[in-house]
Amino acid sequence: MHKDKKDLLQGTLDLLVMRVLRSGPRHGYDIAKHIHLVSENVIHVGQGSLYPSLHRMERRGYIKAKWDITETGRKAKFYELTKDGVIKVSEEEKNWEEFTSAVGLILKNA
Amino acid sequence: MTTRRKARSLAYLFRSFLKSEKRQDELDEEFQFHLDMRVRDLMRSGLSQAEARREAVREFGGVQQLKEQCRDNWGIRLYENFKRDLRYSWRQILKQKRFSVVIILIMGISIGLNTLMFSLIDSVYLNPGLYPDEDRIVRIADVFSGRNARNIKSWMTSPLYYLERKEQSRVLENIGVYQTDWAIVRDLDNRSNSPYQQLLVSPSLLETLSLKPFLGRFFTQEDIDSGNHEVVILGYAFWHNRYGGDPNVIGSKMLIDDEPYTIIGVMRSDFNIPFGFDPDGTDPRFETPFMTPWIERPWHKTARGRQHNYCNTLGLLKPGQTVQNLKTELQEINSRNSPLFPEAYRYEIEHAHEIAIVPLKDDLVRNVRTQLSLLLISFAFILAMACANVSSLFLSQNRVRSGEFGIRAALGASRLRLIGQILIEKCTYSFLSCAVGLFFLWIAHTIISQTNLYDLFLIPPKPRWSYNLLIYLLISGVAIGVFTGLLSTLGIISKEGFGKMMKEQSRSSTRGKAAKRYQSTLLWCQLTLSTVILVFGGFLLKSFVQILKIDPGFDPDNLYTVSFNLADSDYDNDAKRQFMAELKKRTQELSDVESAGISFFPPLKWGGNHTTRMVTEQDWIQGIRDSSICIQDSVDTTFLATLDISLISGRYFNESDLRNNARNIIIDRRIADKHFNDTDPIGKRIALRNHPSPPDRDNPGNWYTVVGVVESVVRSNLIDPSAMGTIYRNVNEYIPYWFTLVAKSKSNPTHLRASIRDIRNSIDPFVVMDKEETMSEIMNKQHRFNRYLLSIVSLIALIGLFITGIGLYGIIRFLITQNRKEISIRIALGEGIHKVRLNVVSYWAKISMISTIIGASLTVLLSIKFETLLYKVNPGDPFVLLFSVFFIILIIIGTAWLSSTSIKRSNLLEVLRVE
Repeated sequence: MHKDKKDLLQGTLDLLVMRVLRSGPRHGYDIAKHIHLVSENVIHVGQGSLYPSLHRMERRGYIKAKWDITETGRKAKFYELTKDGVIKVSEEEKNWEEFTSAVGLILKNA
Repeated sequence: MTTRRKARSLAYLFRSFLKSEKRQDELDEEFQFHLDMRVRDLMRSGLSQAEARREAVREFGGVQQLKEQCRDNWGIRLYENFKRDLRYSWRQILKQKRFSVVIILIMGISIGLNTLMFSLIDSVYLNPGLYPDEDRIVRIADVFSGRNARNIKSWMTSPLYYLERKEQSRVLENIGVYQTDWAIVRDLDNRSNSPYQQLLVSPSLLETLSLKPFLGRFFTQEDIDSGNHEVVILGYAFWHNRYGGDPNVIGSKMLIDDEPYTIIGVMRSDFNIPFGFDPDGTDPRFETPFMTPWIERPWHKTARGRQHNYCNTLGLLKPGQTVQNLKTELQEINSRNSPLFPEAYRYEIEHAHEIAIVPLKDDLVRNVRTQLSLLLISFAFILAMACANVSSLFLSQNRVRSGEFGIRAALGASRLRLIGQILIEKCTYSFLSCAVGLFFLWIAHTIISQTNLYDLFLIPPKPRWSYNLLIYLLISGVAIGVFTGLLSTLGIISKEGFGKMMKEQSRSSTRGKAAKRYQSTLLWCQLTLSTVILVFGGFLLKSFVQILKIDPGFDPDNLYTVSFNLADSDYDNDAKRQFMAELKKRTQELSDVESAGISFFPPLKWGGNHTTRMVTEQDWIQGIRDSSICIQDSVDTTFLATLDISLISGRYFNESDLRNNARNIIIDRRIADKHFNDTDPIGKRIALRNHPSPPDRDNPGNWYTVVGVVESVVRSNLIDPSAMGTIYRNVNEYIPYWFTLVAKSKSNPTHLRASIRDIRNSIDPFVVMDKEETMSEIMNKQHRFNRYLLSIVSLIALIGLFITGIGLYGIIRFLITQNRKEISIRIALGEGIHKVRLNVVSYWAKISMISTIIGASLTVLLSIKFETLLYKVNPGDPFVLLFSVFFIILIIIGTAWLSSTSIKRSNLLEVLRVE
């Protein structure tokens, strides 16, 4: 049970990060901030989860990283989706929708 | 995962591996950027720069842990840890130089010895490399109960068994036969002849063993089928000695038994047929001078051909076939054919005929199994002792560093991480030890390659440098490192132990009870094993000394022996008698000769026995028809006295016996005890039978009268003397075609060599002289093997002592260092240094006494199990036990005293400050 729960959480974070990156390359801080803003300050992604997640997805080939200059003129590491990542995020979105609708049905009818 | 993604993931891993340093820097930079951005945002929300930074750092959390997590995702964390631990281990080794040298020496010698053992087994058993298909070659023999069932050396087969198997076996790809035989060869001067022991070999044997000639060709089945039997292949040494290595010798003729044989080939110098050259099993270096084809004779296919077991056969199994398949098939063949020969069949049933099949590789080590077991046991003990030693030293080292481990654990290092670090450190020691082991191995190989070990191993070991050997060395090194490392980490492997270690790290000078108990256990093991190896070594040493002290039953000092071959001379019996008498007379006239005698088969000279069957007249009258086997020799009047073989009753032969060719006989004590019980054998009659017809009691020509009883002597094998008795016949009555002259010299017997040669030359220079050697040389030859074993066991005992010594020194020294606070306080409070040292020594004396008693008891039990390895030594021999125990106690006390010299009048405050 515990393992399933952990997988779900990890998977959710990965989905959020990849979804954010679909709109274009972002650095780690920007990703965390964007999730925070878009979720209307509900979801706060800690650095302790974000960076391991980014490195994990980079190893799996869903995202790739490159060093670039930010709008403030500083060097930062930007992450962007790969082709595999694009496919993966679509699959995960679909899975998520199925999952949430199933949970919704249970909450509504059970 | 798709192949493309797998490849990408691997590439990522590879990049991380190559650019790990750069990635570390990038990770730092990435985190720093994150922090700076957060600080900027917080400052915008109104915090001061210091507050914003403090808050950002707080939010960010443990940077190190986060880095570890990220590195985990790179997939190279293990590599990173390994690199760090390796660097750390190297620093530790350099920091504790003396300790490291002790460990590396102990482990290096053990690894070297272990690999040497592997190398020896590989070269004599696993991979002797004698024949291309040696894995499929088997030795096939027919054994009969009461005849050769228990004597593997005489495992032979008969010509008909061989021929049936050759024709009918489907499991065998090929089968070959060979035997030895004496042949007389005309010398190149065309005047004299020399006897040689040649090899008769079937062409199929050469195919079975895939042997190739050095020059010319080997004979083939076509040679034999076409009647071209008179062909010979020369041995390499014979070709060099006789023909000076002339390659044009091929095609020329050689007279063997007065028949011209065509030389068609020369064997390679490493030509070897297992045991074909070693009819007595005494001298494996016997090099065959030449070989001729083994020919199928008409009588081979008769009952006689089935009953005469004198051939060696080797078979080549078809690929995929097993020894069991072959055995089943040969039994079927036998049950089909045996009833065709009723007499032989009856013999088979009466004597429980059995087909014995041994893989060649097993056959090659049959004579060295004991030696190999002995070496294996000795090396296993050395290894076990070294492991206990090293573990104990490692444990001591870990205890010293428990504070360091505790701090690391407090900083977040997991139990596994600590164990991993310790193991890598121990394996670093192992790798360095492997280098020492390699050096040790190189020395051992050099010694072995320059030493003639034919006496120790039938197939002389030729240790080779191979990848297998190096891999074995590395694996054994790592295994010992991991094993000893794990033993030393047992204290922290369990959660409880880990917790205790963390608690104990705050009081570094005192040790927990569990740790003390564990260390004591290792120490006891080490001391007990040392005692076992020393006491067992003592038993073996005494065995060898006993063997060297064996009394042959006669006086071997100053005896010179030389054999004369009359087989190829034209001498009739009278001429032979005359030659022997003249030779002996002139030898006795030499000023340096005390006495001289003649014998057909003198003790120890030929490495075998000449036997016959006998029955006493009394048994014959009582209807006892079973004759018993005995050894027979024919001697002259002075032979027995020359060897100082004591006369128990009656007399030796006299001139009258010789003159009249009297059918008198002398028996030894064994025959007297066995056949005459309490009655006096003198005057009694004995019949000798080599054929099944019964002796005619009324015909005095069939009977021999006993005229003397002499003491029994060792006839052929000093270590395993035969229980058979000996009868001595009158040399003039039973004239041999070769004989041995034995002369007792007043001084060094080798001085007689030239004089006796001169005598031979003056009587008849064409009589062949052979085996000129002193009796001491003959006995030394038999003892050579034991001398080698003696050296090896002594060497192992010395290495064991060395390892024990340095291991104990290290541990006692360490324990003294551990207790230096207590020792310093006692010295500061006025206790004399000598008294403190004495306390240390008496403590170790007590431990040594108890551990040696346990070790000695264990050895006695072990010796009972391995009693067959001991010769005339009781497993509880008090002398060996007391001496060995005393010796090991002395070593422990000596080591303790040496270590205690490190106790000095140190400044108490200084010690306490350090603590």
